[in-house]
Amino acid sequence: MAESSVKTVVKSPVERKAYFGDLHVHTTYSFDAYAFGTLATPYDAYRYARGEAIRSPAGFNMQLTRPMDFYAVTDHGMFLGLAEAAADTSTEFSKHPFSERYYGLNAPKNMGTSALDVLDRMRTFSSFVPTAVSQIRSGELDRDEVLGIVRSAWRDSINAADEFYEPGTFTTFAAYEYTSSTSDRGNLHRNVVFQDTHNLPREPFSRLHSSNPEDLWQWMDDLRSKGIESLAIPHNSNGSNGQMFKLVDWAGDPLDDDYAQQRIRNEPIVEITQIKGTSETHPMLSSKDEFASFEIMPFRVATNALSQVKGSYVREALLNGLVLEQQGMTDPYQFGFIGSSDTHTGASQNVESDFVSKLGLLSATAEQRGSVPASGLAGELEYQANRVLAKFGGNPALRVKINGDVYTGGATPTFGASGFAAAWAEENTRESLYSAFRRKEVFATSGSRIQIRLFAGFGFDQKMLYDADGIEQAYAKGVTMGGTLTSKATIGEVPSFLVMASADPESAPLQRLQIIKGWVDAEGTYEEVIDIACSGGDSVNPKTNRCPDNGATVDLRDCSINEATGAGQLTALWQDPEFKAEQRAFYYARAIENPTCRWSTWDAVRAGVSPRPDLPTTLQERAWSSPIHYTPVFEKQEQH
Amino acid sequence: MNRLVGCQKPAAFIALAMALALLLAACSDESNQMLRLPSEAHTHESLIAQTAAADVLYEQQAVNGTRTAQIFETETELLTRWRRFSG
Repeated sequence: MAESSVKTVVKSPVERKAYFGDLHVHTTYSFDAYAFGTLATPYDAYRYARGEAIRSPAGFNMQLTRPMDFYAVTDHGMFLGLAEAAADTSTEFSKHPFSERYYGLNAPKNMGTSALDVLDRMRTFSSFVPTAVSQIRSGELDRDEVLGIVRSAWRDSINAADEFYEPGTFTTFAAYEYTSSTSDRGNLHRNVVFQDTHNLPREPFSRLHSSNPEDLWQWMDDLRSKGIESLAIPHNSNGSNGQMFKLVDWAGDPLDDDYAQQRIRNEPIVEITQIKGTSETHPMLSSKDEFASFEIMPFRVATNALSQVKGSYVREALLNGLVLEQQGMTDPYQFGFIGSSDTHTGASQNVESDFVSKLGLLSATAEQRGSVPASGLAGELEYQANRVLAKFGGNPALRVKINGDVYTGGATPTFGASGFAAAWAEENTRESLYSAFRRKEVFATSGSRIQIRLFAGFGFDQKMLYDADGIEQAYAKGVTMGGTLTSKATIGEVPSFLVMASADPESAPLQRLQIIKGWVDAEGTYEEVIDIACSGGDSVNPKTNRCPDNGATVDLRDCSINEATGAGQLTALWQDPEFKAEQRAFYYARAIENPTCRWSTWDAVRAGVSPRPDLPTTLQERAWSSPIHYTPVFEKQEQH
Repeated sequence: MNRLVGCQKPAAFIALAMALALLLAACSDESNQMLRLPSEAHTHESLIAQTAAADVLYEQQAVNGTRTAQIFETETELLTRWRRFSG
């Protein structure tokens, strides 16, 4: 087993603050981003994160209202930089016949956003990966030349990270995306984030090295044995068609302890929300969670095929992990949560009112994003042409007709303006943030900068919610998010959960604070959602475990909200009335904002049309803490 | 020149699309394609049919496809580079 070489920061945990960032950002070095017209380099992406304006492929400016604390460019390791090298006629690689069709792809005159422009762009690019693969295999393309381009782009990406790293102010990471999938297009993508840039591999391990994520973990372990520390963050399990959290390995064999240990060693955190939807849970899995339908993207990634729900969502994986642990195995799914964006323009997209999605020239307009109808005759022509093309193998979902209006179909309208990775860290440095990732003291938000804390322990009291040293006591007496609580359960005490959340001053107030509990017994697994604090001083109904309606409203004519409702802060000290000392369980906290307009409604308001009827008009932004696991010590009890 | 530049919205394509569109619009019986909500997509009949068709296609592609091709050897060679930042 590879030894850990995680660097620790010698400071009191009380000094930990919430830092917000994005660990999933694509730039011009990603083959698909280049196809979307993205010219933003990793340097541009970091400038954007620092607060500068950068250009969208469609020509408008994109700029944050508040800078990020940390950012990681995670371009696809697969053919990193190759599309740009093919299109740039000054490179040696562009002289190869393979490259000819990409000449000038992103020249100014080719940056149109009309349906025909986009169709032609995607037609031009659709064969990029399969042709490159087959020509490398046949020897038409020189393998070493391609690897040379990949390595050069990787070096440049690292240089960009180093150039913009400003310890104490802004942190960057060397990182890339491992972009694998199964033959049924089940998404198995991971972002690989390195602790520092002192020593790094000369090339990223990509799908072209192996499609098997277990080989990625082995590569990471091998690097770890050389002192190179990294972690992989799975994302878009929602689009994995049940593959991301299935209970067999790549070969189809049941999971064993070696698998579980290697997986959790390399994948301590998971991305549960991003532009391509939220992977926390699904209404088909969590029928009693009325907040489970949040930003569901129901398709396999980059397809129009539905993604199987079972095996694709994080909460279910947490439950299955409890079962495996109960069977005596390491829990491979005892992960912490982050969000990120997966933008393909270099620019995170977290604000509903300012969302331009992730697809560059393919999502630059509201019509392309599917939030407003395509106009008049052009829309009708596109719809009918799409119907014809569908009969010859085209994607039937490109255009849909709803109540006589033609809209963009498929997954794009289901995309969300999400999300943030956040970490409780002592300082804004690589060492401190990476250490937070490793100990899973991280949380996810759907785009607001909500801050959320979760502690569990014995001997907590209500005063800790108000005492100046309440957090210090919580760290001293208990465990925080990402941790495991084990002690004292044998003597019959019930643990307490200290939960605190602060609203984002630039978003809506908080509506409620919740605990999500999952547990396992001999019969199966269970989950429950419990409101533990309500805005406006309201009490939780003990029969329903729900807060009353707080009267929050959204005016769909202009997206205004009544800010008099809701809370700036919600706190609670909660004990589980159903706690059983012998029962494995996890607990995580969820802070829910008052409703606000979804990005698609903002688009409709600006266009002066009604919101699209098959999309939610409003949503409730939220934050998810990483779970705390409770592990019983009943083995010792039995000995007693 | 590349295909993108060479295409330049050819009039023939547009004319063909318009002709087909008018033909289809004249004789089509269009159903409402509203999904209700994305979270209900798994109960939508046309999406289920679309998924079944896609699965058949993916199965065919898997036989001769290049999606899982291994073309590079795994290595853990370290990068040698000049570092701008050494913190």
